[in-house]
Parts: sequence; C-alpha cells; structure tokens
Amino acid sequence: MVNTTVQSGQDEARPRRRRSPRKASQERLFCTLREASVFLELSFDALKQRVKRGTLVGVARAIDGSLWRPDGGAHVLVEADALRRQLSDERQQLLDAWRTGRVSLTAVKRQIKAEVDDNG
Amino acid sequence: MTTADEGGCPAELTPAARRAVRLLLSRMVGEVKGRHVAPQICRLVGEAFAVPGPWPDEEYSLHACGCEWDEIAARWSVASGAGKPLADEITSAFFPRKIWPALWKVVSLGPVAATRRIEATLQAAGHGLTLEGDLRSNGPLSAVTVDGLSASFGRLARAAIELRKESLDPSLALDLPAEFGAWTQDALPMRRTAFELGARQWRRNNTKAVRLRLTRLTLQVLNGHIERNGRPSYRLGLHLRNRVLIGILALGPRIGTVVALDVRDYDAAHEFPDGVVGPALHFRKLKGLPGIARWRGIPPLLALWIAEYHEYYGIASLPTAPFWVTKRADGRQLARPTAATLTAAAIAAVGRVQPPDDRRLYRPHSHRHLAEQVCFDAALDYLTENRRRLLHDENGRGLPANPQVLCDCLLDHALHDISDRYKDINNEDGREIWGRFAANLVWDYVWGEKGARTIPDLARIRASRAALEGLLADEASARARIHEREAHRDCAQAAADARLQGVLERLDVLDEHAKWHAHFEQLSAMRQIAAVDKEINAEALRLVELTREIVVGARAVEEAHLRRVAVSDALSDDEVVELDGIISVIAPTREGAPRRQVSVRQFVTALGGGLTEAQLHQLARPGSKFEHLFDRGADQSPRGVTVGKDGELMIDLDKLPIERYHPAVVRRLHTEVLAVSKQTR
Repeated sequence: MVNTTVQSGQDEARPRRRRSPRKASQERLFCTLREASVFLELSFDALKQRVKRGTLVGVARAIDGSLWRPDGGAHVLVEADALRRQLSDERQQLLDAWRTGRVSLTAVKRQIKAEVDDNG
Repeated sequence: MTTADEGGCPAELTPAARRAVRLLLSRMVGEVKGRHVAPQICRLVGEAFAVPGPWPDEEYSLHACGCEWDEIAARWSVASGAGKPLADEITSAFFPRKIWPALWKVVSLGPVAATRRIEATLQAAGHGLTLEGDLRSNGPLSAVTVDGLSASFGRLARAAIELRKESLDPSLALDLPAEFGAWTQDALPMRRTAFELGARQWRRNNTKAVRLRLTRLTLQVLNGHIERNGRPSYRLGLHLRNRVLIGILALGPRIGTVVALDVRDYDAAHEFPDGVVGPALHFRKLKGLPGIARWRGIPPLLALWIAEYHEYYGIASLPTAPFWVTKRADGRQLARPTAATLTAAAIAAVGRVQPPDDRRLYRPHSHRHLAEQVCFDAALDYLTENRRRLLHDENGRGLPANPQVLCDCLLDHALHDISDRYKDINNEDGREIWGRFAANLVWDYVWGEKGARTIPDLARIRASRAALEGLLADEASARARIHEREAHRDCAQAAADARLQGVLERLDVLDEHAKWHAHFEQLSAMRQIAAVDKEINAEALRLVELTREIVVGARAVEEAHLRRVAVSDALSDDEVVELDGIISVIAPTREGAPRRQVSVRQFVTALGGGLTEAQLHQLARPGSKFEHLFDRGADQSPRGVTVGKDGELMIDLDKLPIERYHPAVVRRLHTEVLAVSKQTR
C-alpha cells in the first residue's frame, strides 16, 4: 500500500504544510514532461527524445492537431489518463494521489526512491 | 527432366507402389497449381497417419524446384502425354518423401476406408483432438479449415480415380498396382461437410475493414517520422518502406499481388489506353487470373514515396530486384520476402496508432475491405456529379453503370453484367483506365481532406460572430448619436421659436436696428439647425449602410455555422463527438445575460496542468509573446483578458480561440462557466 500522507521532511523546525484535497473539477488533466518523467522513472531527456520521435503515448494535442502547449512553446504536456494507463497499479495510486492534490511531487519522488531502494 | 530419378525413395515401398505414388503426386502437382493443395494434403495425411511435419509451403517448394507454376504445368503436359511421372525433385519439393508411404497407405485402403480414416481425423481435429484422443496442441480446427482440408483430400481422390481411368489405355503402359482397381467414381463416398463432421464455425471478422481514420493516421504518422528524421538509419528505411506498403495496400490489392512486385513493376510514366501518362504499378500476380497482368494507376504522391524508398535503398536501377526490402534479405532462402513478412509489417505499422482498447490485428486484407467501401462511397459521389460529362467523353472511357463497377475495377473483381461490356468497361483497357481512376478517388479519402472527420468551423464562427457583434455595437452607437443630435436640434429649434415669439410680441416697440438684429439672429439659428439636420442625415445614411452590413454579417454567421472543417485524425472519436457539440460553448451571449467570465484561478484549473497562476499573469501582460492561449489585438494585448472590478484579471470565454485548445480543456471551461452562472443565479 502506498503511503499517501505527507511527511514534513528532515527539517522538524519547518511548520508542517497541510494539503487539502482538490475538488474533483480541479483534478489535474495534464502533467508536464518533467512530472511525467517522475512517474515513468525515465530521464527528462529520454522523454524529450520520445516526443521528438513521436513515440510517447498521450502527448496532448490541441483540436487543430498541433502540440498543446498552453504557454506557447516551453512545455510539452502529457495527458494524465494516458500516462496512467502506462503505469503499474502502485504507480497509478501515486499518480492519482498527486493529481488530486493529496501528495506533492516531492513526496512522490521520495516514495519511488524508497521503493527502488527496498528492491535493491 | 521428365525422367524419374529412382534414388532416395523410402525403402518400405515396393518399386510398383513407388511408381504409382509418383504418378499420383505428379498429377496433383501438375494439375492443381497454386491454392496450397499440396501442403494441405501433407498436413491432413500426416495427421491421419502420424507423420510429423513440418510441411513446405508452396513458395518454398517452388524455390526448391527453381521454377514457376507455368513451367511445372508445361513439364506435366509433356510427361503425362507419355504416361510418365514428373521428376522426383519436383514432386518431392511439394510432397516430401517421408509422406509417400502414408500416401500409399491411403491408396491401398481404397476409397471407402481412406475416406473414413480422413473424415475421422477431421472430425477429431474439429473437436480439438488427435486420432488417439489427445488434445491437439493448436486447438480445434475451424469449419473453414476443415472444409479446405476435406476439399484437398477430394482432389487427391479424384486424381487417383483419373489415374485408374488413364491406366485403361494400354498404349501408356502405366501398369498400376491392383490397389487402384477400387478407385472408381461410384465407390467414392459423398463428401461430408465440415458441419456434418462436427466442426464449428468461428467468428470470422479478422478481415473486416480497418477504420479509415486508422489508415490515415498510420500514413500521417509514418510520413511525420520520415519528415522529422531525414538522417539515414535503419528505422528511416523501415518507415519509408512501410509508408509505401500501407499506401499501396490502401488502394486495395491483395497481399499476394503486392509481395510479387519487382522494382521494374513501378513505372513513373506509364501511358494508359486513354492517352493519360502517369505513375503505375504492374500487378503481375492476380488471384484467379493466371497469365493476366494489369497496370494499376497510382496517385502522384504515392509514386513520389515509392521513388524516395527505392532511392534510399539504391534499388531504383535494379529492375529485377524484389520491390520490398527486408532486414533479413541477405540471409533469406527465398528471392523475395513472403506475404507473412509484409503482413507483420502492415500489422505493426497500424498497431502503433491503434487506440489501446482496440486489440485487433489489422491484416493487409482489412485494407482491401476498406478500399472497397471507400471506393463505393467516392464513386457514388463522382458518378452523380459527372454522369453527363462521361457520356460525351472524347477518350472513349466508357460509362460505369454504377459505383460498384469502379470498386470491381480497383479490386480486380469480376464484372458480371453484360451491360458493363457494352458500356466499354469490361475489357482490359477499360479496367486499366477505371482502375487508375478509382485509385485516385480512394486516395483523396485516404490522404486528402475528404476522408477526414469534420467539426464545425469554430474559428470562423467565432470570427464572424465577433464581426457581427462589432457591427451591432456600431449600429447602436450610431442610433445613439442620431438621438443625441435630434435632441440638440429640438432644443435649438425651441430656443429659436421662443426668441422669435419674444421679438414678435415686442415688434411695435423695437427700433429698426433691433429688428434687423433679431432677423439675423433668427437666420443664424436656422442655419445652425440646418447644419445639425445635415449631420443627422449623414448619420442616418451611415446607419443604413451599417444595417446592410449587419445583414451581410448575419448571413456570414449562418454560413459559418453550416461550414464544417476537417479535424485532425489524432483526435479520438469521443473527442470529435464532443467537439461537434461544443458549439454551445461559443454560443453568443444573450442580451442581459451575465458575461461568461472566469477568474485566472479557474482558468488555470481548467487548463489542468503545466501553468501556474503567476505564469498566466505574466503571459497575460500586453506585449508578452503569446502563441497559443489568446488571440492578440492590434496593440499586442491578449484578447479576452479584462481587469475586473476589484483589480482581478478576468478571462472572457467568448473571446478565447478555443479551436486551438485541447478538447478536455474546452469541456472544463464549459463546466466552470456553468458552475459560475449557477452561482450568480
């Protein structure tokens, strides 16, 4: 089972930041390549290569077929649902927790790192 | 070559039996060309008498003989005339020697017992069992397979019967063993159907047409890869080949026809019978049409792709080289790749763009089904539009009776109707002309915009509505100006009237100077009123002009609503359906309805990732470089961004270029707006 509670980290002096779950309508539809790279456990460059080659599944496209990049060029977005389909059950739970705002990306990274360490 | 080679025969056959088997097999090989009869008989007899395979496919058998079907048929005609068998190399290429004793057993059992044995085998196989009652490793055979195997056995039985009949001619001196005596037409039991043998029909939809969208998307994706990665690599070569493969398959030929192509079969400037010169492929191997080769016209773009592909592999100058290049070409036994190789390539190419819930394997024959369907639709449209012109056609191209004729020309199916012959379609010239024509029609759907799904032209609707709204605003301000000028004139008129009244009342007491003064004052007032009148007239004329423009603008809005534009094939069906209905999102705001605005926060939520509020604030500044989210006005400020009452930025939904947005974002914005309007109500 994935631990979805947020830990405050090493620094006990820092106040514990509390996150409230987002409304259903505020669930994330897209994630950036950098965020996707955390869940897919691939490097950012590898994902960029895949986008370039057109082999990354779920790259968000606008209605006119162009890459959907709301900021006009810097970010390539990946559809969260399409990303979810590529993940294992445990990772899917992590993604859901992150999408709904229950855990931060840092917590996700820490969790994945712990799992990798446990598995040697 | 027709003399038999005695060496290498299985030891357990007597010389007479060996000779009889050779005669029987020669007859099978020489008369049943193609149709995979030999492998089927090997498979069936092997299963019935427990002789393990594998059995050679006909392509490999032909390769082993080093000749084609025509040559084998010619040799057989010479050998059969003299009552001799074919050379052992040929018969054993199709029927390996290890199966010969089993075949002799079939003959010696006689027609009744042999049929019973074979039918028992088929019955067991139809239920997924071997003759010993064990489970078959490959599961049960379908009714269609059982029927095919049973028909192949029928051919073997008929060959035995014919051989016995021939042995009655003493001049041939066949000297058949006594076992053949039982093989008569009367003695052969009637063939039982697969259903009588207990086989089950399987759901057959593995050749159902591939969806047009998938074919289009496959070609677009392959083309995209090739355009992006111009650097020579193994993968680029593969994409070049697959693009050509899918392009050709989309025009409907069978995979067997496509596999048999050579480099010389592509002609960039073929002259068709109607005098048109254009690119074409020479289909030399057509199912059921031995000896007939047809030129099939292809679209210029596909020809360009073929040229690029040949140039990349450097085979353009090798006319006899096989058309298809594969990875293992060097280590391969056969001169050309088999249908299986290209089938795998076609399946993989489509598989890359298939949605995850679609698990079908789209074989090349699925593309043929699609070609027939698309061609029918395209031809229907074409004939409706051009029937009149074809009747007066100078090139004598004939007149297709119905759209099906074009489909049959494209797919090399038979034209059954006598009327097609008299309409000059059913001859090789007519087929060539109309085949080319149909290929071009189909290509418009496979590559052009005709085959794309359509949605309302959102950008145009938005632009025409904005223009109309601008005109309506102008009209309102013109009316307001006229009202204002009229009020001004009425005031001036009343003041002048009052002044005149005063003068008239005091006329007796006024001196000459004062009278003249009043007169000129009145004149100037009149002149002022006339000037205002003139202004009102000018405004009224402008108003008439505006009203006319509004009529035109309203018509433009109506037209924009009717117009549909092609949508990207990358979008899923659900998204297209959603976009079709999304017109309500950009419906014009009614008079008095609250403006459909969302806050920056709501907007960022609807975007669903990738942007923070702070970033959006930055991007919403006038003069920032913006490509995607907002249109920009003349002063480079993003359209649709307004400052609310409390200084907060608000986004006006009616001014957003939603045709550039992701469908999910549009849907979210819609729901946000609904939520906001509910709150305000």
